[in-house]
Amino acid sequence: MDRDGEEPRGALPDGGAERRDESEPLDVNEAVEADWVAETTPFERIYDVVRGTYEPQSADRIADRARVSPTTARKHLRTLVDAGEVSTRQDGQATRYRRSETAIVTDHAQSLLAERTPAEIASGVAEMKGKIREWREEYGVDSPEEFARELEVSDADSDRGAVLTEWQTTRRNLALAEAALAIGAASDSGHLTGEGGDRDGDEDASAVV
Amino acid sequence: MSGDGRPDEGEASERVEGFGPIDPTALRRFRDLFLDLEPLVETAALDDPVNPQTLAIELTDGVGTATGARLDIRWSLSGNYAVHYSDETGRNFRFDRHPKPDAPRRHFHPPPDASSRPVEPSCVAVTELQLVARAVHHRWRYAYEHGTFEEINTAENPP
Repeated sequence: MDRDGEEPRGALPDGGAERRDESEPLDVNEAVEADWVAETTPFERIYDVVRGTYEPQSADRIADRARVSPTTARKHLRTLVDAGEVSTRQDGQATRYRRSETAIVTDHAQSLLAERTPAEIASGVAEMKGKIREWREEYGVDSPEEFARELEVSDADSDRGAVLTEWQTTRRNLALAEAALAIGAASDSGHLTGEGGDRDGDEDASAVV
Repeated sequence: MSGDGRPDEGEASERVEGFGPIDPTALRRFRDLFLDLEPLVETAALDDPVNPQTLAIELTDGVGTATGARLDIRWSLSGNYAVHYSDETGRNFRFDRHPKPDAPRRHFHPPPDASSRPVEPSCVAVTELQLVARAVHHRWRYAYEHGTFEEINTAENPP
């Protein structure tokens, strides 16, 4: 079901065909799946799975991944779409679902603003910009994509593979941190909820949560 | 993680086929689950909240003679991961899932040094974060309770 299909099950004894003896212990993959299903509700599993879904997928596929029925998956996905957590794309007859970009940004901003002041985030932004500038200069390329092409990075475990991942990650974290600062400033102005009408919102606030 | 029933095919068409950018949301989901599962967690935190690359989990005990250990976790937007155990006695192992030349996508860097080559196929076959975190926890617990790394990369516990 959820297992990778692209490689032989090297270390996996495939006991699927035979009926299991009840007293036989479950293998690690079966055991953790049983625990997950026992300890969570279908909605919790759908929500958790969709929080890590960045490429649009069908409701059937998401149902499969969350160990729920397709009907249940559709119902909960509709709720999450209405709540702005999930966005949809029409693919012919089929609807495909993924984590919405708004949810990605607000989620990250919330965590970040809870842990760091706007001034600290701003200094982090400057640091990330500096790192990206240094990679561009050091390797003579403009982007991580060009870096991967020009330097033929094929092994993620190599030093260059590590730089590639760090560069891609930093670029994304930079965009998220800038969005968090904007959300923090809007929130700090007090205008979002119609309060604090006499504040300009441009002061250097320290607590924004 | 792309088409229906055909995970990992075609997703790399116009992209760099590599580990992929780290997903901070995934690191937080992993952290929250591990805090629930493991009483020996001393701290569990992202390395840098503004530019997170790794989740570090410090444990108050280790396998066998080790009296402290840590797990460093990376998880990408495309569902690739690396979970690296290291302890005070200098022993390491890693459960990984990412493209690697001449190796299965899901592979295990065995103890004591978790060297880059050769690697073994990993016993962790599940791919959802909730399940991978639980599976890694399951194997760590097995090694911890038995005081040895033997059978750590084995799906089925010996009787």
